[in-house]
Amino acid sequence: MKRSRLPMLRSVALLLSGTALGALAQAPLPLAKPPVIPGERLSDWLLRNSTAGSDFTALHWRVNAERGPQEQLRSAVLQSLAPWPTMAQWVAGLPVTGRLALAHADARWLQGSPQDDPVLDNGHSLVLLARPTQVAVLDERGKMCLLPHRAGFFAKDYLRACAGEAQRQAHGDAADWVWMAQPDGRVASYGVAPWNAQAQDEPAPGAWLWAPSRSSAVTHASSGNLARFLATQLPPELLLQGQGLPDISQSADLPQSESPPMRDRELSASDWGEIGLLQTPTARMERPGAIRMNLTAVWPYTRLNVMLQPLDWLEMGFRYTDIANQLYGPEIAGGQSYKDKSLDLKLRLLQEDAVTPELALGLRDIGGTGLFSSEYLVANKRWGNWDASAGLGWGYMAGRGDISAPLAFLGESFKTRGAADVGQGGTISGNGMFRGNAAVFGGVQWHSPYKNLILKAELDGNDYSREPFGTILPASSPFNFGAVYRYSPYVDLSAAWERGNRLAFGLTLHAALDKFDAPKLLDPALPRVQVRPMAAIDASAAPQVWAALAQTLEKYTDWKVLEIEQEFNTLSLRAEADAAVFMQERVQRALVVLHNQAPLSVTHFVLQLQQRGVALSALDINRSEWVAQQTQAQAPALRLNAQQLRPGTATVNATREAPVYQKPTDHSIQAEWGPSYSQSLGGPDGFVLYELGLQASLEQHYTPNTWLRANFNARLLDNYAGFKYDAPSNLPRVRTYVREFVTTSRVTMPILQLTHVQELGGGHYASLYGGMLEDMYAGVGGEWLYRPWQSKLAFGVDANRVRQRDFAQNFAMRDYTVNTGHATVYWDTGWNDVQVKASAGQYLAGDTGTTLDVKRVFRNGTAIGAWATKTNVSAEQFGEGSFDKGIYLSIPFDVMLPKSAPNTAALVWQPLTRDGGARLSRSVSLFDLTDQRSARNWSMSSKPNSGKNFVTGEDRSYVEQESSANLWQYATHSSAALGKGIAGIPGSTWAWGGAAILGASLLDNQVDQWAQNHQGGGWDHAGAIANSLPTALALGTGLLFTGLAGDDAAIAARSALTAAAYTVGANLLTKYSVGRARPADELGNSSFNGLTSTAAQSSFASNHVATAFALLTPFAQQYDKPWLYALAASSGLGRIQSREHWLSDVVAGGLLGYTIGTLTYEQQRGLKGNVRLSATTSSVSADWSF
Amino acid sequence: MRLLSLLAALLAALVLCGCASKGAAVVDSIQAAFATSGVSKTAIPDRPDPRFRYLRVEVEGFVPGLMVLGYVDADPLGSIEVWYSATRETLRLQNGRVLGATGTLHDWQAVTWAPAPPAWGDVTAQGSAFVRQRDAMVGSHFGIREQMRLSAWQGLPPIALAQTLPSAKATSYQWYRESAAAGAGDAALPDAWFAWGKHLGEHTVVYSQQCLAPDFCLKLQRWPLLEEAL
Repeated sequence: MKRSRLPMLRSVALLLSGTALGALAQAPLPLAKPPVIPGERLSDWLLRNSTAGSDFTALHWRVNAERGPQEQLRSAVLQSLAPWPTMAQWVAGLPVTGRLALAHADARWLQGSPQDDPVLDNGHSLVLLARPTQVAVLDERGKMCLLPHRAGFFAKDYLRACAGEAQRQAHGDAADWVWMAQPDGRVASYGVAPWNAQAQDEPAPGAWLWAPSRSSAVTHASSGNLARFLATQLPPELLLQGQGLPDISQSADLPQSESPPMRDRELSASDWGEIGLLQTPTARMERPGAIRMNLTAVWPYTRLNVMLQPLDWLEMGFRYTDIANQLYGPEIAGGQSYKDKSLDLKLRLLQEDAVTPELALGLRDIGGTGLFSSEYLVANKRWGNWDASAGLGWGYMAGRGDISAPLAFLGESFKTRGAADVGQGGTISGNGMFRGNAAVFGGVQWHSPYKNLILKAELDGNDYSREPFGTILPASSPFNFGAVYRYSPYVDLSAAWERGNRLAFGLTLHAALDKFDAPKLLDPALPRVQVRPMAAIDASAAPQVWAALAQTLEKYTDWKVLEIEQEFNTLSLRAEADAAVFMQERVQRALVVLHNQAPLSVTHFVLQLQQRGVALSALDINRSEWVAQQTQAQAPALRLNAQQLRPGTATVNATREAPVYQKPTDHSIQAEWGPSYSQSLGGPDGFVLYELGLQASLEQHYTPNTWLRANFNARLLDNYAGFKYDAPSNLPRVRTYVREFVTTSRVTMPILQLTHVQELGGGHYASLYGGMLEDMYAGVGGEWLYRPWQSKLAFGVDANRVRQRDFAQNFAMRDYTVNTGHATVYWDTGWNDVQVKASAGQYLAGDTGTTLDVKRVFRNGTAIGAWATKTNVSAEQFGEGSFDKGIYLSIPFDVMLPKSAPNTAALVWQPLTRDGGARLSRSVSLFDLTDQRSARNWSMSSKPNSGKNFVTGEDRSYVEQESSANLWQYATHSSAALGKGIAGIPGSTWAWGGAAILGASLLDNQVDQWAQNHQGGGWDHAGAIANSLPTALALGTGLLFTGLAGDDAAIAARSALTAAAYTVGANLLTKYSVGRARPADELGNSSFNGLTSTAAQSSFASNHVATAFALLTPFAQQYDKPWLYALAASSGLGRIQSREHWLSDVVAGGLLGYTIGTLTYEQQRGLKGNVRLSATTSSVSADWSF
Repeated sequence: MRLLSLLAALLAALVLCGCASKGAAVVDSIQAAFATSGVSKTAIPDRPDPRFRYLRVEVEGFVPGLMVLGYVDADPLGSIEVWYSATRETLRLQNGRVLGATGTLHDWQAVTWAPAPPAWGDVTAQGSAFVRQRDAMVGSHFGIREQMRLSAWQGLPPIALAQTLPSAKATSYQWYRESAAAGAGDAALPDAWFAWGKHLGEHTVVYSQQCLAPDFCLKLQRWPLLEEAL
């Protein structure tokens, strides 16, 4: 390597002389490749070899062991470049260098950051280069453009200067994205087209820019792989010679001045809280983790909106609306202006690209009274600083109603829309949605040159003539105009002129939940890891020395160290850990203390961690490897695993030595106190009802697994004097005595509970508890949990016999007693960090039902979730709200406070407290207690990944696979291919299909006669089962889509769901066009009345059968299981028996579902060519011809 | 900003304590929010270790802290002081000017001047001009060239000085103003100010305000300031 470098460069220089690239002969050559002294630090090498004017912009640290992974990366790149042989050939000729990036090539900084300062060894080499001067632009055709670097120029400027890019722009095929491999090894990608422009870094001198054209279909993953491989190469002016592409051009013709820096798309809240303009929403979404609270006022409405973004395609939130011109009325709270609560959802259906707009479907006020309920479909397209939206709305937001019931063709019910349901509310029902007249809305947002100012203009879909409670608001213009001023990164101020006659104001606070982080200023500063500990104790140290070590450990970890044992070269520690979210960080703190103080003879540490006396996890630590990782940068290929995680065991070691330290048994009472605060928002007695006080807790352990806990609360300050309202209830008042419970006594005892927990072995855990279990209930109960080690699934059952407590929350009881308990499945889906908890059982009011709780958990432990409970209580019995539901945020104290704490705050928004679906609030949950058994628990980190952090030797040789598109994206992109597939079906096949349907129609009447003769009893039962088959299939397919049964099944499920969506859509059009009467209509099988408002619900073809075939065909083909077709066909039996369809409807549905299922599946499998669908009298099959 | 931070801490503490069963961390946090001194207000110890030399650093929006002198590297243009923070930041100063910053929010590298700025004692009120070239790592701005102008300033500069610099001290120093015109690829930085005085028996820049980015300005002060005549 050392010998080949200079000859290669010499030959390069020779090759250049006399060529059109003669100017490159002036390119800087490597200054030196000074030898490496094994064992010296990189910082020392840099100090040894730097001279005045040394430049380390493109310093190469190379490790031979990294060549293997980088070879694999190059293979992946070559595979993805197969359609572009010139480019692939060039990449194939590039050397695999083993280059690793450095956090900073600054010797003095490295000396202060030894964990980023590698210790050089044999197999390491360093290449010291002069400062590069050129920037290269590459595209998939193998065209390369070499340009001089110029300060202030961005990727777009370099692209613009390249002739090839100019040609592509002229043909509308410019690059939309650029990948930038900087000379220091950093890699980034940026949008450079008007629709996706982003704020971006400049290319440094020596940067590679990879800019595939829009039509090239090079995936983002492939481009990222190539960029990371280019980041291992020398700067372009050094590398290109000898590795040159056939089409290299050099240009000195950079534009005289740089273009204005690109900016990110600006997103801001509408008056309704969602991302939007003023009164109207847009299709835009924030990034996952975004949370936003905004207060807006335009008379008579004042809205407090809280919006959350759990997934990149889902925005949800809730709202309180104060209606200034409407009072609650004397029977509730006469003097109070009316408060309305509501829930919103917005789903992104399509992501914007160069051609397609972003598309979203949204629902406003779906969980409330419906006073403002609206539905909309909205699209957005961006052009630089301009972002335009256009949409169609229904309901409140479409008050102008300038489009007459556009969905009336789906049925009579879509012609009109019902009135709001004040007093009941809460029904999330599709019955009223998308009904009645619609209105067009839209507008434009402009990000002004002043970066903090955004201007907005919109066409409002509402004319305010049909406002809640029958009021009319004068509106002199349908256009609204407004401005948003970004006061700080977290605060927006807005003002607008709306309806042509009203001023509107808004204040928005926004943040990123997943970036929450609090430096631990109040924690003791952790000592630095010493390579050779100076304060290490002796193996035969006195007991008090070991006790001091235990105390130090407790100080830094908040653990209780129970035992320390030393056997040979292993030091074992058993500790009671708390419920800290960032377990790995606590372990690191413990290891710093252990390493700095443990005897030097110790080579391994074993940490046994338990909680409430239950052994949960154990870590085996290789001391020397751990120290190496803390005190020097290592090449990823040479990095060994310093830590092994395994299930905890009850004892430290089977052949126990006497521990060198054992914590004395402690039965003393532990006391803690702190402030308490609780509030209720949006009630009729005042928008905020609050109490502020002090709380204290006492806890005494009788055994490690058995303890008594008491909580006391003293209410010191509140505004409960005005708390008068009691919600009505048709059920036992299990939760609606809220006022009585919070106002009866100032000093309360919410909890007095004796608890015992026990590990049963094999992942089984149990608990028994009794006492005052929560503020409203006392009793006894037990829980059993099965949670296999690091499993994504867990299952638990809890059973409780409880009695309602006295309002004073003392020892007295009321006379209501109930059995309550649930069976619960916990599922970490692995999809978008979503966790699901599904419970079924009996609730406090004696009602039975199920609760579904879904949450997105971010890496810093914060979570956004929602739950809904449906029991056998009817909506009428339940009262306002119809069923129990809510949204919550979960925030670990550790990301909010400057001091470590194990607790997690739950901020819950529950629109109404009702008695149906009410659950016992148990203070000890085995699932929470055993969190250490989950793999996720060990991956949580308090350090948000900003993407800017860079460490020496970061592994960048991984091969990125293209992330699978979501179902909507997949369905959209495949629709064009599907259309081509259908167009490719030969005419003869259409003829065979038509003949089959016609043939079946000859039997329609006889088969219907059979159905009429087989009504009632078992036939009805069989028919009902067959009718429900498509729904069951859809649910099952949905589960398989999540990956539950492996990747193959997930692929087939995705095809199946997409095919089902196409099939339903295609069949809807068919029904609307044909309009055939159903057998039960008694109009015969030849009655057709298409293109009418009821035609979409007509008989031809059977949706059930078509959907069943569409869902099952991909599975039948993937697993070669033809009997699945019979299962699909059986759904036809039900449709015929219930006289919903003729035989020919069933045959047509089957053919439709089979065809689309086959085409979609084949498309998914990546088979190309023309489809040949063959139908004969005995079979139907699909083949691809090549 | 300070008020906002206090309100945020209080709000967080109040919101979180509603669900707290273990209030120690919450109580400590509230106490820290109201404290007028202590670790939450400054990372500066009451008694710095006399074996080391310190530089007090103040940046708006951050807790003030100390950097410790790690190395003094020889250079023909003047010795280069290498200062370290506890959070892995390195600052290089040459004749009091920032020569490099690594590990900060706005790193500077490869700073050069042409011609070299005059010695502090030679700077006049009429001033002198030179060109500064640097790489600003945030945004990857390489090769920024700025036209600089350095001049002596009579009296106190028209800027808010660190509260730890007594006005009596400040008036005893000779002040200099260094202006930078906008360089290609970067916005113009606010003026830099240097106070030249005696510290540990030598004439040196004892206090300066220099910006690494328009919104990232450092107030650098030798710490502790000793009672020494100019």
